[in-house]
Amino acid sequence: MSKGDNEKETQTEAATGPSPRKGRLPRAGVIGGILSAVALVAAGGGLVSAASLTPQNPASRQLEAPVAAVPAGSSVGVCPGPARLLEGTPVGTDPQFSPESATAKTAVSAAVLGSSAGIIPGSRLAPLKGAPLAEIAPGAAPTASAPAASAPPARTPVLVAGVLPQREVDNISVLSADAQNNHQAAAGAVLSYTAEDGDLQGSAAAACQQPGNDLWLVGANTALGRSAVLNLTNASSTPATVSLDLFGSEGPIQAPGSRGLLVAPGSSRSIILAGLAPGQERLGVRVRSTGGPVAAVIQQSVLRGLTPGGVDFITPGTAPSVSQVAAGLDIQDPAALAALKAKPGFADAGPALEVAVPGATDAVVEIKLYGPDGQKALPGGGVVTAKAGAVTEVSLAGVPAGTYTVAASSDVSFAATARLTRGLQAGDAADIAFSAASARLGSQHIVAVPRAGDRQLVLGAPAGRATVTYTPITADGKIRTAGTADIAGGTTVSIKIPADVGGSPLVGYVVSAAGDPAYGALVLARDGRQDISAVALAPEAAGQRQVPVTLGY
Amino acid sequence: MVSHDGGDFLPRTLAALAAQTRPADAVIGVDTGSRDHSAALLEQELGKANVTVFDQPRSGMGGAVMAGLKALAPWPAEGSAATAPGTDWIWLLHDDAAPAPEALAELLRAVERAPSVTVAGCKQLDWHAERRLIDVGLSTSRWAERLTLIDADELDQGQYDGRSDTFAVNSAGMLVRRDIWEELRGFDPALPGSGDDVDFCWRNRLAGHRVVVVPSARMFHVSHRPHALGNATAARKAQVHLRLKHAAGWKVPLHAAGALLGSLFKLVLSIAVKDPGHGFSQLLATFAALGRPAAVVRGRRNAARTRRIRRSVMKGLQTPRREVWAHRRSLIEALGADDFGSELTGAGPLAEQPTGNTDDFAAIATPDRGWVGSGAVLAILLTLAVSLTGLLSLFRAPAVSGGALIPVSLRLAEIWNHASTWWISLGAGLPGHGDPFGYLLWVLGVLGAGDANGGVGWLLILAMPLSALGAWFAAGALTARRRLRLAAALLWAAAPALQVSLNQGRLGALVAHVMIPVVVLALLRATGTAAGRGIHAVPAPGQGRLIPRPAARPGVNGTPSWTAAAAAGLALAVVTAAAPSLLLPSMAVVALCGVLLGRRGRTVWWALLPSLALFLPFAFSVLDRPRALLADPGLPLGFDAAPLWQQALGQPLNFDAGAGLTGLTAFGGSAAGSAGPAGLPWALLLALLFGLPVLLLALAALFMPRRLVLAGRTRTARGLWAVAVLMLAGGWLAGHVASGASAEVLVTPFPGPAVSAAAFAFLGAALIGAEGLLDAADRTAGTGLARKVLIRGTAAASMVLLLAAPLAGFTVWTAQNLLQPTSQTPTQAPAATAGHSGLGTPRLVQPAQARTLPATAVDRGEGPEQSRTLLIASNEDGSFDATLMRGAGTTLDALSTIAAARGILGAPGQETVRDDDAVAGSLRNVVATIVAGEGVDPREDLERLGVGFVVLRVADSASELTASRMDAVPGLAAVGQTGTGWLWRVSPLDRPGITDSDVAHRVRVVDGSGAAIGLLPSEEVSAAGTVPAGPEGRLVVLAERADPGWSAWLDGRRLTSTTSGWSQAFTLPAQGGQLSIRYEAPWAVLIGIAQAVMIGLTVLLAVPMPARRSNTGLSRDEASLRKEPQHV
Repeated sequence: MSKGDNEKETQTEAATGPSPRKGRLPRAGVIGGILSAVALVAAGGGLVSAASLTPQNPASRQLEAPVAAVPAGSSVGVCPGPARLLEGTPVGTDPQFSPESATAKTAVSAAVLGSSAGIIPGSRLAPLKGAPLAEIAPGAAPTASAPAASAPPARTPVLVAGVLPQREVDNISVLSADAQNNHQAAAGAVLSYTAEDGDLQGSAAAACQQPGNDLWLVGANTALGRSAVLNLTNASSTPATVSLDLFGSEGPIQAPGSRGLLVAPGSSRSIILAGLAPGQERLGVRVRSTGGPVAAVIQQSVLRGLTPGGVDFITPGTAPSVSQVAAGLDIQDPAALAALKAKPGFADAGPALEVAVPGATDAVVEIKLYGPDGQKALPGGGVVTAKAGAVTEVSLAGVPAGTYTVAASSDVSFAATARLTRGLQAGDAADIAFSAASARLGSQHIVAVPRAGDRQLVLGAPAGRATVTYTPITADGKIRTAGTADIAGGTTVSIKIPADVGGSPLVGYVVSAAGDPAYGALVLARDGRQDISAVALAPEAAGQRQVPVTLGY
Repeated sequence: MVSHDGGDFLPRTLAALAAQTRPADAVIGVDTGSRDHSAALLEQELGKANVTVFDQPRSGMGGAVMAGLKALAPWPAEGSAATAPGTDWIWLLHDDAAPAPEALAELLRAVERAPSVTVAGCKQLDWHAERRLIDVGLSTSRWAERLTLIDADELDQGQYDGRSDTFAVNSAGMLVRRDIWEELRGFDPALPGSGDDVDFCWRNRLAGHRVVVVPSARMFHVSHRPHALGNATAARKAQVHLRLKHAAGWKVPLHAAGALLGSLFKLVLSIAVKDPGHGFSQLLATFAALGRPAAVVRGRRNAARTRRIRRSVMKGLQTPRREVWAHRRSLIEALGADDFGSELTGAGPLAEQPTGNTDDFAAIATPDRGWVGSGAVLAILLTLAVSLTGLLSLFRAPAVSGGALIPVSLRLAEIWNHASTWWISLGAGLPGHGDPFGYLLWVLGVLGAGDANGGVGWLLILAMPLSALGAWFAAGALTARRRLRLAAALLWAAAPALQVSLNQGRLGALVAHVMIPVVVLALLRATGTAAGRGIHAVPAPGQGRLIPRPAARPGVNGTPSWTAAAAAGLALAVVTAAAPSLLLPSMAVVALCGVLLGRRGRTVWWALLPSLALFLPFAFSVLDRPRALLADPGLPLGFDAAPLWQQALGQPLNFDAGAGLTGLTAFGGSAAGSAGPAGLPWALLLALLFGLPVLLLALAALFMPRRLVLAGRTRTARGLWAVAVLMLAGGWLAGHVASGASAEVLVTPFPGPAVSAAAFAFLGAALIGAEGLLDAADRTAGTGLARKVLIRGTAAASMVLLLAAPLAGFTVWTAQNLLQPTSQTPTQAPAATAGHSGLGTPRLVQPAQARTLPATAVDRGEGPEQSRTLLIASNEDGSFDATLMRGAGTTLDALSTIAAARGILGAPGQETVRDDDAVAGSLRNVVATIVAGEGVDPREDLERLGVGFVVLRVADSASELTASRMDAVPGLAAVGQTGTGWLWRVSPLDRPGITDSDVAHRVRVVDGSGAAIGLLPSEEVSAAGTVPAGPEGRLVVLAERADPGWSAWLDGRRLTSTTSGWSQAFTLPAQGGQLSIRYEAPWAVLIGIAQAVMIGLTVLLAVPMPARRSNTGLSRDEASLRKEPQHV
């Protein structure tokens, strides 16, 4: 290279001094120098052009975040306890006017779907603390014989289910089903309460609910004669600190004592809503929990003077959104309803949709009712303005008697619950029921059905045609032949639930929907009594969830 | 008469031999395979019959004499020694030593007077200067060093003529009684050169005979003969050999060890006085001497055979140590005086010798011009103002993060541990050595008075002024013109590579950019390529006159400099540690310098040592994934590399030729890809303004006529061009290898350092070209007008362009940084860089807090628990980022390129990131479990990972939802919201036996079923604690990846290593005891020592000392002090 020459030159120069250099510069050296310079420039230019000709990979490539499968937790359903009177209710001696009921019965029905291999996940119904009440299926030990046993059924899948038909309970109970093959177990349970005397006569039912950290309950009433008790249950092992946001008929209610309610693991807590927001005819509650997830249910009862006005559980509906659908509205004769509602104290004796609007913007809500033979116009057009931060009631009376699905939409998020009533005589005991807005039906809802009474599966498809398959589960653990309901857009279909299928009592359904959104609810009535209760179908079991997780330094 | 290549001297020697007053009875000539006409001369003079050719030049004098005697005058066999002893004498003559006419007569007279004298020698005088003494008899020190005890330039005034009995005499002109010669079997064949005479006389004395010097017999000896056998190495070899040979048997090992230690000590000393070559050759000579025990044994046997008297008798004849030292001191002083004298004669304006960096100021200072450093001060002030304006928010920030930068550890010791560790404490840990960059951070911390974060902040702010200063100094080695130095300083401070590194927080590229001028300056000086101004007068050897010649101080005008080489090594180590992608290209450049420059390049080899020392353990631990050797330090940060033509213009990042300037709407920066106002391609214009003048001037330097530039400058320019091309090619090749993977991006090495290196080489060449142009402009007085205007115009235009480019660069950078808000989330950086294609990059660095984790977690993370923290951040697209952090959070020094490169698989260009191993899979699962809040208990996995805390970083409203879900996760106890985010403590699983702790530990004891039954305190890597007795089948489990390097001792007994899942475990016996766990890498200690020695010696060598030659004498012995006054 050039530096070598350099040295020689410097050396000669050092020896001879700088003066005589000019004349005797070797021509070969000059040419060599120029050649080497040209070679260098050519090398540089060649490198640059070669680099521009060859495709260069991008210096940095984005990486896909790898997904991690979320381990399925056990499926937990918290069933409310039996409807109870408020503590301190004076109990007289006259059995005819006793507020207590002698005939109250509370039972839980549950069904747990087995896997395609015919193995039923370990599942049990247990009180909050203590030994299980009933074991539906033993915990699936890692069995080595499982492949051999499952080999024949793999060809012809015989679906089995674990069932718990009508187990009597006297307190809050928890249905839990273990995850299987990293899939959450499909399990469902329903609690039903009936009483034929006392203040809390009527029927009430609620699906056992998956606990959550953010729940919306709308439709409570703490006016005179109405009592609403919020039951918070923490079935997890983490303490829960619950805060309540109350929305009254006029706006948000600041209630001391509604924040920082501690619910210890495996315990429940009852809050009389009248103590926080007294005299509210319409009340929405947002339950937020930090720590363990909680189940929340409001036991709402009505007593008009001495006449029981009914009891039911208000269960959490779907989180606020711009469109809510509640199914299973059983609406009575419009003329009789109008007459009844006109009486003092009976303003809340008719069907209504309770709309709670969180946030600061008033919502213009458009409400549509879909009956068995299509949409029915509401008197007044069905468009109301719901005040922000308050609960607005929209009466649904005025349409022909029948079973309906109500759909409400707005430009602002809101939560909603539908109220339905039974009983048109002011002097007789009546009953109320609440059907919270529910999510659209998915693929595998386990719908447990109480044993007795006049039971209907009400399915509505507000937007378009939907096909709903309902597969009976019977008490012998078998899965029977599926029935299919083809629902035309904008109609509601009621399916009478038979007592027995194939000689075995029916315990529940596996409901799957296809097509446009469909919604469903159970409507429970009793022959010969003005009892009614509605149970929104519980969400399906969560499928395998995956979360993209990137790992940094 | 022995001759070897002595054609130049033989005529005089032979004439002198012929002119003896007492002629020799018979003359035998021996030629030892000369390649010149010596043999012919001998034959011509002595007659063919009396000359023998002994073709083994390495066997030395002794062998030649033996062979000659054997061939031409055989000694009768031992038994038939009928001839009376003492009648035959042999006179040994060298080809380069001419005896005075009466020499033989005087010698014979001396031996006749004293029959016990068997060896007699002459007074040695200089061949040329006949009155200069070389020796009058020889002596040895206690350490067998051959001594003459003659001062430098001592003249013969008869002061030693009284000498007679002496320890030894010089072999030139040694008169030996033939029977003694035969009895002692001549010279020791193991000592071919130096020391053979001493050894012979020593044995002669031990045999009970006398040795005398006859001062009246004079011998004129050539003292500085090239390629002589008697050089310093041979002297040292002989010295060691003699020590071993003549010591008592039991002392031999002691002497061997002593010689070795002495040599090592001398090596260190020689390095300290900038004379490492001598030290090394001495050490090698010692090794060579120690490495032939057979010769020692042979020599000892021969010596023992003829020994008549006790060895200790010799002690009295040897020179005492004090005398040796006094003599050496006087020699050293004489050398110093020599130096001083030459400086005196050169005094005056010509004696201004710019050598060291600091001397430059004085060198050019003349009364009518301003201080030379004013250019540097101007550049520093200007760049400091620009830098402060552009990075104002970083001023006095507690820490800086963003881009590739994250805060550094708060404690220096921690930084050091991270840099020197063999176990990378990142996530679940992995084997590998810490990055060499860690040492730089440590140094930065030391410079920042213990606050490495402050040091980083200051470095960012001072990067521009420091670059300017470095470039200014380096330019001084290439040009004497102040305005060019100023232009170089400004250009370097405004280089796009520096601006990109600053804005993206690429600390490595930044350090490389700042240090590259220092490396270049040091390399130029190490090879003596730097321009030396001034003339010095030096006496030519052999002549009394002083002739002026260019300054010949180390570092300039062809004189290599060890100090500069060591400094280059240190600076290069800094550069390569900061930008490992430069390691191989720079090694190639230095090696090429060393090879191609020959003797002048011999010092640059040292420049490789510090880098090699720094990378040795690191390279050792990345043998299985060498791509880590290329990876940039810091967080892997995505970028869009520029095509090579843009890199040649100095731009590391890609820009669209037609685009505007990023972030400046007035210049088309708002819409990427669109042209600015009036359709001007502002990006291209600015890039060309910056790169093109430099490139053109560099090109001009290549083809500059020689009379326009200083001697050798064209060649220097070509060398710089070669360096630039090599660097660009190296950077381009490295750009094909993906070397780092972060959470979301796979990156190749950043081209910035390669662009910087090439740009500085171009800048250097451009300076040479510009100086030539300016010189030409100055000399246009006599030429025609048109030519004058053309040349002067070009020169002026290039100067204007050279100064305008940096000013434009400063303006644009400052405006971009001021006008455009800094990107708030560092994670968005890759997306941002991918999208923009204008010139300039948004500023990502911003002030930050030094701690990245909540104080509670830090407290437990740094305490004996060593619990880790899982940091989760939710993104808008529903994905989550998770990081397993140790201690106070991941710091810049804890990052490892090994960790960044370890997941990458595949050939260059087709790399993929491999699937999760057990640890990553488990971590991902844990994160999914936690963020989903399905009620699944993640504590089993968290305990295994050693996680004691979970932090959810607050990013958007989605994280609030995630937080509430995480509240529901069993085992996570919410602590609350902190400055970093929501904090949860992982409540330990209910386990018997663990009552005193509320947080996960790094080291735990588990029973047979895997349940933790005890916790142990630990440090970052090692751990120690007391284990109670317990059931059989217990394991002690570390929350670290299993690796064979882990070892555990219980009361000094080694435990069996096993694994528990992916983590390292050891089986515990039933009884308890004191447990200690540590990580050990093979060779770690040896490599560490080698590193420390190499770096330490280099630092010692690089410490500038006043260049007084007298210092260098400290490490030398007498012979080399006298023989080789001219050295580096």
